[in-house]
Amino acid sequence: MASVILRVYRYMARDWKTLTLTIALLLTSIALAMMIPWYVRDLLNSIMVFDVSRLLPSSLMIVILTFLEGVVAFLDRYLFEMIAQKTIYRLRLDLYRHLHELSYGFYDRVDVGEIIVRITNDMDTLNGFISFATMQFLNAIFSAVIALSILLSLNVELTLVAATLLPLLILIRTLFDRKIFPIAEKSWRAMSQFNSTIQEYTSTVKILKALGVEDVFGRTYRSRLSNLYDLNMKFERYMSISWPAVGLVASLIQITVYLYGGSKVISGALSVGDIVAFLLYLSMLNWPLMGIGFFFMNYQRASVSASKIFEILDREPEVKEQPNAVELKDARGHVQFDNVTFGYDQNKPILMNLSFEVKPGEKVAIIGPTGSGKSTLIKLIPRFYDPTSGRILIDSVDVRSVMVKSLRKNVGIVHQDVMLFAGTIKDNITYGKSSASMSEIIEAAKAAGIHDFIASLPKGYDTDVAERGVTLSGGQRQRIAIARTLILNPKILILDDPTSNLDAETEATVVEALRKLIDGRTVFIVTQRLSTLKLADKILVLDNGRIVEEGTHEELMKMGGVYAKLYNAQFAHQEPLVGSVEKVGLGNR
Amino acid sequence: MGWVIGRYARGEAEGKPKGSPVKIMARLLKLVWKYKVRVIIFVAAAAAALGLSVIAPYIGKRVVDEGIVAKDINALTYYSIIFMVIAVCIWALSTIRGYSVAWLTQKLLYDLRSELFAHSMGLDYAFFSSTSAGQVISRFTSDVNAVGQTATTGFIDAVFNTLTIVGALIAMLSLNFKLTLVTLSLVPLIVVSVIFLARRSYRAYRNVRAKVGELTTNIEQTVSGMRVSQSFSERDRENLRRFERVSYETMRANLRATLVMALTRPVLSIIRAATVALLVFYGGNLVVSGEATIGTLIAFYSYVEMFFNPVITLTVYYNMLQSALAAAERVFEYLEAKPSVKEQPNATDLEIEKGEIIIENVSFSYSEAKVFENFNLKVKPGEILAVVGPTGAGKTTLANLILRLYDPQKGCVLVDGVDIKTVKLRSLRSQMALVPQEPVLFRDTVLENIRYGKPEAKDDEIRDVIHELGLDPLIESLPEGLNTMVSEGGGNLSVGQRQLINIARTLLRRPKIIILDEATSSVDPYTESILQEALKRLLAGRTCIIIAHRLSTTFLADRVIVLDQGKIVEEGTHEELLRLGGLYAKLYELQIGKPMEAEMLSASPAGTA
Ligand SMILES: Nc1ncnc2c1ncn2[C@@H]1O[C@H](COP(=O)(O)OP(=O)(O)OP(=O)(O)O)[C@@H](O)[C@H]1O
Ligand SMILES: Nc1ncnc2c1ncn2[C@@H]1O[C@H](COP(=O)(O)OP(=O)(O)OP(=O)(O)O)[C@@H](O)[C@H]1O
Ligand SMILES: [Mg+2]
Ligand SMILES: [Mg+2]
Repeated sequence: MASVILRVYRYMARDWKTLTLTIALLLTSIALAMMIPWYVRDLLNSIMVFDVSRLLPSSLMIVILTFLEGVVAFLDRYLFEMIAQKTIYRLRLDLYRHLHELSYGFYDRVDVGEIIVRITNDMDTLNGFISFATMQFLNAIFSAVIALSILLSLNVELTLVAATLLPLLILIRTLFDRKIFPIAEKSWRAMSQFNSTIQEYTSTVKILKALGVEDVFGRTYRSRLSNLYDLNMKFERYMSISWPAVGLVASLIQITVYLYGGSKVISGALSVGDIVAFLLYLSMLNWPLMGIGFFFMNYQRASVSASKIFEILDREPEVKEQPNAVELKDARGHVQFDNVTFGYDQNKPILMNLSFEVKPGEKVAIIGPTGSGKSTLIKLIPRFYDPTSGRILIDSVDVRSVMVKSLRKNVGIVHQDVMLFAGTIKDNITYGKSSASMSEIIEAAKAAGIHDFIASLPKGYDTDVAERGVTLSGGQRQRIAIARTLILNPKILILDDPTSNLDAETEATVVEALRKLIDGRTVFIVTQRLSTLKLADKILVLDNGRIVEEGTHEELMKMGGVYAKLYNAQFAHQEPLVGSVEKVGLGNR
Repeated sequence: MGWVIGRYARGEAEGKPKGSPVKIMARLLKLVWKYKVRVIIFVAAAAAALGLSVIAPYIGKRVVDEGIVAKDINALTYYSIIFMVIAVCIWALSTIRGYSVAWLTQKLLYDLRSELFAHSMGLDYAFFSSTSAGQVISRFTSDVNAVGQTATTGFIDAVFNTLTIVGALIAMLSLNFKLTLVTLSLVPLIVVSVIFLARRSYRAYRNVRAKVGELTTNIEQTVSGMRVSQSFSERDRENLRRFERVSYETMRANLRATLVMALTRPVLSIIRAATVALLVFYGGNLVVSGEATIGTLIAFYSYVEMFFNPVITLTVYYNMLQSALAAAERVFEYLEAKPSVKEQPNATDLEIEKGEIIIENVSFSYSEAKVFENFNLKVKPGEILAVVGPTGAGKTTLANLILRLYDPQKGCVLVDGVDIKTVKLRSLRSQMALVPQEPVLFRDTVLENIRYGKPEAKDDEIRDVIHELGLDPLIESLPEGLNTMVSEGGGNLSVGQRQLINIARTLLRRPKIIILDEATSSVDPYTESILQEALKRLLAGRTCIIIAHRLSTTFLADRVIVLDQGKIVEEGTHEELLRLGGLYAKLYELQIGKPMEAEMLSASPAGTA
């Protein structure tokens, strides 16, 4: 646990020059602060002896010293905060950058809240810890060293006796730590759960409202909130016992000195003056003890936060670029699956021993029942996941041996679930290519059959879109997502159910426009719509994770297998339905 | 709605603060005052601890005087024990004090968060569709935290500090009037600088809060959209650039706030030093001229300390409080957001018996562009109505209006002859059900996801509905069947599976009125045909609106309406519309081919395989 905090300090130490300056300033301000009382005493003395002549210089000295001390302390505080802020800034960026390295597998399991907590709360906690608590700590350590050396110079024996109680502090801390760490950890979990819950509410609010079941979610919310509250209370309970304990130890030290020193005085081994002086300086230790206690009080949460941040930073992406990866320049568009097996869970394959080949410029349709693995299959091509076994080759090169970015540059994908972002329509279309010119944007929009609609809007391409695109209709969203990919002009184009939310007429327009645009590209198109199938040269039929049929529409119809069954199901309503389709060989493992 | 987009989406702390800091503080105090008893315990413990801390040195003095100096071992032990007892008491009292503060803080956080959620339940769908999730999240989390950090401790400490100041003042006045005046001569300077600094720090903290909101929005969007952004090889740079900007601005805002905070101490300690100098200089002369005694002067000196220490503490605290106030402003602002769809105070319960829907002369627009103008539609009880038409025609909007997710600007929606505006929202919506165009899933098991349709449903009831819908194969295909955990947004399910679960959820309820908005758009035709067979049974006697682009979906319908640009352009049964040869026939032909051809196909040998 200690090591994570050290790691944070290592981040901080990158500013070692400023850090050195800050520590120097800190020492200066401590020194200045110690000089002031001396002048005050001087001043008081001069009043006692009615020496008016020394009033003015002494008062001036106090004002000047205070001023200096104020300025130095201010600079110190500010610089320290600056270093801390910069450290957090760097840490945040590193975390953010690393999030982009992590692959789909990570995002399949993670909750948004967990990440939000790290970027916001945890960074705040660390910020407070490395600026304020650390400064207090250093201050306390320096003061403690000074106090101890004064005490040592006064009386070695008494100092040693007093110091015997210091390990008590360590004991208390270790005892409490063992209790507190697990609670701090759990309370972190609760906080991230809580974050996720609110995020979830905002994204599911439509159905909650439509069904009038907000309060069902409210139960979840309340239980998460109570959990958070309970854990935080528990944490605070330990804190409120352990923190004043530092003061108790300080008093114990004092009593020990009373008793030990007192008995020495009584036995004549020590003079009264010695012990009185010692006791005076002993109180100088109280404040540093408190400072150190404060530091450790903040330590628990900070180390949990740090460990959570590093947990992500240390996570290796599942899809990793090989060190000797080569760049995939302009791909021809030859794609080959060689005995590919894949499962999200290693033991439960979704795709089994898939082998097929797609020639450059060929257009392949993939169809199959719900959940048969179509989306999974196409996600393997841009290497969002790596197959469990087997290889995927593009232009006869294993995708694992090329640079991930260059691979993805050659592969454009329109995902099945459409996700748009807050911003203008234009921002959304140029999402993957911020340099796109207006004519490129319009061309892509036209190909996706959305230009006319956009043009009809008062603000056209500058119309604002809300988060997730909820201010657009389903079909409008989908077409913007298509345009967003088309603008990239990828050599290999993957369309996952791109027309599911389009009416037949719009679909026909889009298909027509696409037909022109995709000439010369390798295209994978997943669809449930016959009309979209028209784009394809070849159809692959996926069922139970295997390719069960392959060929053209006519060939497959003749075969009379899964494809024919799916195809005919569309017309099921034109004949008595019952008994017209059987469950043979269909999907649904 | 516009203001919401403006203020929340950008999340900037521009413009005048809403409500003065004083009002915000009063509101916070009221929240804390709910726990009077605890507050009193807290104050009592704090006061007692304070008192004992004053007594402790006195006992210490007696240990030295009567024990050590007098070489009296009994007195030494006696007073040491007393000292020990006091130390333990201080420890206990500090624990109580610390615990009470923590308790109050946590209660305050809990209450604020409960209130925020209760309020959220009342806000309408429009609010959430125009407000960024990150802005909502940051209000629930970091803002509430920031309120709690200083609000409770500070208020009560402030009381003590003020009392100390008053005490010092009285003491000074009773000693020497002239000297008091001299001592206080710099107080206006304190007041001015405190006000000056507080105003700055309030502004600085508002900015910090706004930036944290932006930061949250950014990260929320990044993580939710990560799968998309990774599909665009160049996007990470742009994302990073934006994040870098927000992070940088957050850092700047924080540093600004620190600057103001850090300034407080030196400014005040200089004023203090100046006061001491003034006092000593002037007082020294008074002593020399015999107008005051040395004792008075020395006492004054310690009173100046007694006066200034709490003043400094108060000022520092007052500055920190600005952070809490800036955060509270955002929390209260959220609590004041008003939904546009509201339950009327005299709303009644409605028992939907027939399930008749009448849309009368409705005009509706989200923003400028009209979606409906004088729209009329009647859905008969028990009728299955299919709504088809080009994208953007207003089909989803129609569903939204029936469920009263939005209110029409003109006209009304009647269910069983009752204007739905006069009905309790819960009562209305609990008798209807919607399958939304975008399937919605919760981070919970599949079972619980379905149960949302009917919270009180038993597991068996859920299994029954799954079975009835022919979805057993779907459940079997999931790793742990009904107990499979669904990840965020249904990420571990295929899109078709998500839709099927949404359908099961809706039908579990067996409501009088059902709206299916593109419920099966991503489901394969075979599964769909099985589903339809089941729906045919399940929908009997219920009013149902089926919105679909896939025309095969509409075969269940008694009547089809074709919607185009917010108008009904065609209406009739499937056959009638085909015969009509209009938009519907065209759509049908484009999608499925000529009816004749289709019939031929289905009759071909392949079809019977
Ligand atoms: N991220 C994931 N983690 C675990 N399991 C997953 C994940 N994504 C999909 N699955 C499972 O893998 C199987 C195949 O899903 P996939 O999305 O490839 O189906 P699909 O053929 O595209 O279906 P649809 O037609 O409904 O889109 C399904 O059973 C699904 O539940
Ligand atoms: N929340 C919103 N704010 C502003 N405009 C909206 C909002 N929702 C929809 N619109 C606009 O209103 C019009 C009708 O949208 P609606 O979603 O009802 O279409 P739809 O018929 O369901 O289309 P689709 O078949 O594509 O789902 C569209 O032009 C759309 O852009
Ligand atoms: Mg899919
Ligand atoms: Mg719609």
